[in-house]
Amino acid sequence: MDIEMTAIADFAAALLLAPLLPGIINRVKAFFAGRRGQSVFQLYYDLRKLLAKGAVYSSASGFVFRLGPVASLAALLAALAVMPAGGHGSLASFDGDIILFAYLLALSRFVTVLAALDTGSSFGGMGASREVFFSALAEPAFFLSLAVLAKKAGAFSFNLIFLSANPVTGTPLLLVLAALFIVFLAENCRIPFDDPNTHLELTMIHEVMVLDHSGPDFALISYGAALKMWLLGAIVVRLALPFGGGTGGAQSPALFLAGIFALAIAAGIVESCMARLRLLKVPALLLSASMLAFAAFMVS
Amino acid sequence: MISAAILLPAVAGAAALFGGKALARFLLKATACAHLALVLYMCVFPQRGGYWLALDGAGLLFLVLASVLFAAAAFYAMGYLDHSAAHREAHVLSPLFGTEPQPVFIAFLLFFLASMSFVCASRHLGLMWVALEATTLASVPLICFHKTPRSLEAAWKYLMICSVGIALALLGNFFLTAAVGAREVPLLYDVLRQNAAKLDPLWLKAAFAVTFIGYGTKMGLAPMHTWLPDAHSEAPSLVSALLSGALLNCAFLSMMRVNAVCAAAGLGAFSAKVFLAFGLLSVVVAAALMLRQRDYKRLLAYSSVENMGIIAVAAGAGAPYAAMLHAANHSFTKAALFLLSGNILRRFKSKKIEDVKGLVQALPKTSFLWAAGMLAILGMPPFGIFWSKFLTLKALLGSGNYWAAGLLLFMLAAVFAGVAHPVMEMLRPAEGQSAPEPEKCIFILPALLLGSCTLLLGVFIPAPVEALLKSAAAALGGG
Amino acid sequence: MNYFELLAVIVILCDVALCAASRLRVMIRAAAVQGAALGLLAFMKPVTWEIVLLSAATIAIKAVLFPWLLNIAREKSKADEPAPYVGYNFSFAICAAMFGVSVWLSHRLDVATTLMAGAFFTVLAGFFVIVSRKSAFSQAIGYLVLEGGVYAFGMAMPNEAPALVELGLLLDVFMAVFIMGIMVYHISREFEHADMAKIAFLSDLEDYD
Repeated sequence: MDIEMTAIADFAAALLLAPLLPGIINRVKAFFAGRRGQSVFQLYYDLRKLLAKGAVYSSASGFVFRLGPVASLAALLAALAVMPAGGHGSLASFDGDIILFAYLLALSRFVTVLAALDTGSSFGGMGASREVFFSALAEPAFFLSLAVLAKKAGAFSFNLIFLSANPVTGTPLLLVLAALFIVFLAENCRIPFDDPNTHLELTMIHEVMVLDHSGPDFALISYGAALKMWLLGAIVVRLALPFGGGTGGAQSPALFLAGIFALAIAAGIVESCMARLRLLKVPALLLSASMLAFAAFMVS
Repeated sequence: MISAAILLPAVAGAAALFGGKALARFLLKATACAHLALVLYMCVFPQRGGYWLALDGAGLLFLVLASVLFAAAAFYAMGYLDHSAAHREAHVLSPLFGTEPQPVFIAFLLFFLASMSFVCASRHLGLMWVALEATTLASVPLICFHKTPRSLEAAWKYLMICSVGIALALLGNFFLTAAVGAREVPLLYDVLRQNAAKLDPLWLKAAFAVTFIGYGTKMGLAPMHTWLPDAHSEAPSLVSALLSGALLNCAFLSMMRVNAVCAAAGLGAFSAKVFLAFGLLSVVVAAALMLRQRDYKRLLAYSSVENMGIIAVAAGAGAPYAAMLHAANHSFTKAALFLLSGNILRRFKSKKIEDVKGLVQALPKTSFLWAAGMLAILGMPPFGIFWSKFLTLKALLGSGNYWAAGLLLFMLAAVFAGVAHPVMEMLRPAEGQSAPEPEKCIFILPALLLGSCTLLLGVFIPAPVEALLKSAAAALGGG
Repeated sequence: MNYFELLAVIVILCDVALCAASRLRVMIRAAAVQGAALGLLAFMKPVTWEIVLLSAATIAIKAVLFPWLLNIAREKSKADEPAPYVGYNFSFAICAAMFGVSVWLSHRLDVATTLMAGAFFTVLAGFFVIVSRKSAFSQAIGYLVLEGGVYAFGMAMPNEAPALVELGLLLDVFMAVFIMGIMVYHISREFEHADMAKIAFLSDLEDYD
């Protein structure tokens, strides 16, 4: 495994720029609401503030609660190492790394859920069960989309898929992008699956899981959420924008950045124009994403 | 000339729809007679067909059957409509047709005849499909004519199941087109039969399978028969007579056309097995549901399922002549029975067997014909059905299907038990029965004539009829 | 991009929407969009006047006339859509299975195009809707979709049926759905609902009164 300088640069860029994404989404929402809104760099300020604070731990919680945020961020960082952002290869790449990627995301979610359950609060349990339910339904969609990519490229590694000479085009591409966009919204707990702005615990899904974390723990969690958005967005952007695939053409990081910011703007627009779906209707949307991916798989 | 047989009832139907009651009744009688005369003329002087329409032996046979039955039903309708008009208020059929119900009924009867003639005369398989779908659509308003809850349910079931079946048959037609592939063979059944060896066997097999299920639904073979007892028992009696006697035969004709193409392509053994299997299943299912049946019209409907099963068995056993003979015999007998059941229903106002007591005293002439008809349908000599069932069994034993023959005999015995007991119950004299009503000739005569046809076919088949049956068998046989 | 492939995929997605829809309006709209896509697919064949007429007739009947008539009947009957025999989410899984079967079938018959798989899938989806829904409206829409699937199969075949038969086919479908619409109207007027599961008076398997 050669570790290229470009891969390290991409990794650093992701670490630095990921917190911009929630900022962009919030800014777009404010624009639609006719407000001026928070600064795009708000999450940076929040992270600095939180890191300086002390953490408060409930006496009912154990070591799992303290472990959760750290383990979750660690998993996400490992996933970032495998994902080729920008126009170049990733930090680490081997056969089957797409499966590892999916499971690292699942691991981060798992430890967050464990931490939520560890508090013994009923809100935590409720949020955890809903979150896991949605993720379970989003898994088939995600895996089927990956299957389409793998089938076309004939390989199980992100590097090889994104640099392959046989890119996914035409109708299967449209279907896979639609499916992956829905998965992106679901995994990042955006509208129409979850409303990040609600302050009513009964309507929360992701926020209520992390309700009890404070200080540096909460900083790690917020940062991890931003990183997750970057990770899932990177797949969508790499698929959608032509990076000159296997021809080794122009590998433009600027284009990638533009793409991922555009994706954040799109998510912001969706968030502004729709309301959250009823809980009973969410499985239908996720299953339709699976159907889209399945159709793409069969059609390609 | 052939197209006249189709256009005449269609135009008359359209005229009846917009004319008044008197015009409609006149048109019904006139068209029935004219159509019968036309068909008999075409029997005596064979017509050379065109590209789309042609009458081969089988088409002619079923057209004759349909026409004769329609004539009988039309005359019965004269009396029936008089009676029912007095007992029902005017009811708008649909937002578009604001006329009285009787002209609508007569109009759809005539459309029904036109579409059945169309099926018999079609040479192009796609056109035959269109015609068969048209028969479904023309007969639905006839079934739910009285708009009772039960008849609405029956009509909906009929419409859905038969339409779905025919949609499948359409898929089969497309499979046939695929079997033809790039070779320039039009979908005319005789041309297809001649060029059968050139067709793609995989597509042809798929086409046969799907078409069999599709047209089999319309014919009433088990397990696609579920619409039949409901539709045939809830419809007005003369409509039931036409449905059981003529329409099922048209569906059988369509099926046999496709079968002939497959047999000519060498798939004869496969298709024969399919016919045999479904035919036996139909007989078994019908026999099972005829025992302890409480509704005499449903009893007759299940008997139709059973007889269609026997026709399929005959076709599968390689005896097309027996199948044709059985189709003819069954048509006459079943139509007569349904017309008589109309008399019974009118007198006793109930379709349940237990409500019919002392038929011999109440309706002597009807009960005589009813008993005779029941004996006929069970296969008693000297009626015709005995002979056709005998030929079927002979063919089964001759081709070595001993188990099938044994099963068939057992089921026929079960059917006998199922039918004989209720009929005896109905006929037995009861105390306190009111005086017999005078039975109008018009209610008895059609059934009598139809019954005597089947008696004739059992005793002695006249030479022209024999020739017609043989040519029908030849047109469809070959497998 | 191959626009016919896109149309075929639209047909497939409309089937999924149909099977999983809980409201009648959505089902009618899915059938209408599918009808429009099928009409446009007629241009796959070499373009002649008959093909243009066929396409226009298909779009007019399936995408305009039927939805209009069905919506009128739906509003007049004021019937609620009863819960189906198969839950909506489970229908998705069955859809996926049916689509898999369709693709396998099209490969088995050696015509492995998207449209062929879509045609089989539409036929199966139509069947599924007829069987799993209790409302007479849904059953009528299921029949419409079923016929659409068979029509799509005709389009997917490389050689053509004579235009006369195709037009006769269209006329038959039109008459069939027309009569179905009238029947549903009568049924809902007679019973004040269109729930077929409640209209089950005829049966041999129970004692009837």
